[in-house]
Amino acid sequence: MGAVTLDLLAHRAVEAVEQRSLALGPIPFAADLLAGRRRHRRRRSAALTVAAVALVLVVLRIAPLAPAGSGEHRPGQPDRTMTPVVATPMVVARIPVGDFPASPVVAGDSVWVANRADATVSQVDARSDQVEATVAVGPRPLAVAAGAGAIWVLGANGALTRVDPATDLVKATIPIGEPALGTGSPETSAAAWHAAVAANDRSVWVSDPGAGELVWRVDPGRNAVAGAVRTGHVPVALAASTDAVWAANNDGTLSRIDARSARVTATIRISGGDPPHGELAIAAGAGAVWVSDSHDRLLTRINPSTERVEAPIPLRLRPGGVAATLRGVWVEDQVDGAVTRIDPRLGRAAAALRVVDTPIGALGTAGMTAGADAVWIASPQEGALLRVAPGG
Amino acid sequence: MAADKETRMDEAMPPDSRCAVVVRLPVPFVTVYEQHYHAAVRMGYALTGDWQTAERITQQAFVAVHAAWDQVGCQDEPAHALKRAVAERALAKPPRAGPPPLGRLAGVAGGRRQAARAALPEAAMAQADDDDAGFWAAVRRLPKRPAQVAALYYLEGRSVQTVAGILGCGVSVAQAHLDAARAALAAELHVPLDNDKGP
Repeated sequence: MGAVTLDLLAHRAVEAVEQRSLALGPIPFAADLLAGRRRHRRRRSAALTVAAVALVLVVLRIAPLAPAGSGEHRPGQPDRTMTPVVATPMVVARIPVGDFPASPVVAGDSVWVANRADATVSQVDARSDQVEATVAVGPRPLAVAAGAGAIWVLGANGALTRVDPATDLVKATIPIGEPALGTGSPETSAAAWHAAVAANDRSVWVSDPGAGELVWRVDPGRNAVAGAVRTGHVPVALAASTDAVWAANNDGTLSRIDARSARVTATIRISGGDPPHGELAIAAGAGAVWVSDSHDRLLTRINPSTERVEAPIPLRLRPGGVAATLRGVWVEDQVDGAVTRIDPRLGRAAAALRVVDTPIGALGTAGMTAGADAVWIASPQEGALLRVAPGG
Repeated sequence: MAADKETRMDEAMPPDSRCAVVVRLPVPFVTVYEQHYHAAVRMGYALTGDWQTAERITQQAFVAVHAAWDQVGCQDEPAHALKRAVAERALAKPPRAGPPPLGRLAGVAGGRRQAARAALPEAAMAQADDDDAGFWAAVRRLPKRPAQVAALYYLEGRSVQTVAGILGCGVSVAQAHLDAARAALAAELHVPLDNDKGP
């Protein structure tokens, strides 16, 4: 029988601790944990919140409700939930969807959102706030885009799934690149979480951070990869407009890809700092391209005509998702569970709204988008899609 | 200016060169949280002797590293910052006013065990034995740095390099603390050292 040595004692002690830790039960939800430190601040602002709600209610009684879609009310439609015209932004609907919703996108009268933990996407009617369909797609859907008459869902397995929005049927599954997106486990690798997809009428574009400098181009006519465009180092966010695709790269540059020729026609430096950068988010709209950087805490406006950076707007928050509307640019605050509307003319925040009780960043960037007279935010904690009335 | 480059599928980079690309992106906080929560609590327990305290300091550590996630998330091993924070909090001065005299040690350790048992379900209490109590109590009686090194060394797979990475010190420094800690533990627990310095 061997003598008991120090390392043997240590081995038993480690085993005993591991055995005991099994009885600890499930880990607390990260968002709840991180919300705890702001409890006192919420109490302080409770009175202000009550006052703001009271003001909103007064405004709601005075202002008539306006239908979504600039007043195009269609006879025969079911009674729709309309986005109220309010003085200050407010959450007007919390629509339960699947598990861990992320990356919402507006397509016509619908909002599509990926349910990352369910391997599904949900179609929400933007008029009634009802889930119209839930479509099974590949495992871990990471990002969703709408364009070329279809909904495109990028999965962590590297496949792009084409969904027909009219029938809610999967029409094609297109493998993108080799190997699969990201390095390491597709469920945990940072690269997989930063993969992005964008679409316009001509093509669908998929960034592959695991491949380094490539944005894949998919031909929607053939449902096949048509080529790849070299951009800056590690494209992590994409936005598409009619004539161009914009790729925000982790080397601090923004690549403009011409949608017709599928060539990079401009490379614009948006950050002077050395990599690594923080999370980048991008949106095209309101006459500009907007890029937020969580590391530098900047919102950068790029003029698409001149391809030049206009005055960057310093933020007091750590930006996550970004969405552009005619009334301003909405930015998620990863630390505070709030969204803020930035007025580009003033170069500062014009309105802010706490949408969840927990930091958005605790769950990764859930994503937001704008359209149908509302701002739409995916809330992984609630398993819901939030509809925000943007306010006047 | 313009890159003006397009690569067709058949011209795409070979797989080998693609794999060589170093991707520096912030790892999602929630990923590290889910993967390392229990391990962090175990280390907190090893250094405090109390499960509730271990969970509290683990959660404090997560909150602290989340505040700096822009930087932490881009590191090679984001979990290192977390474990370092747990190790520091576990042996921070206010909750632990220094090593208790040996004469009172049994009582203190017994009290901690009772607190730990109170926090555990019956099934776990039945399984709990005293194997760990003597060893981890002896670890906690070590000076701060050797205690941290010893706990990390045994809980993190017996790699001095990993311990040094977590604590942010050199490998030789970690090795020196480890040698001192093991010698002190062997003397206190009346067992011989062996040559097994790792798998």
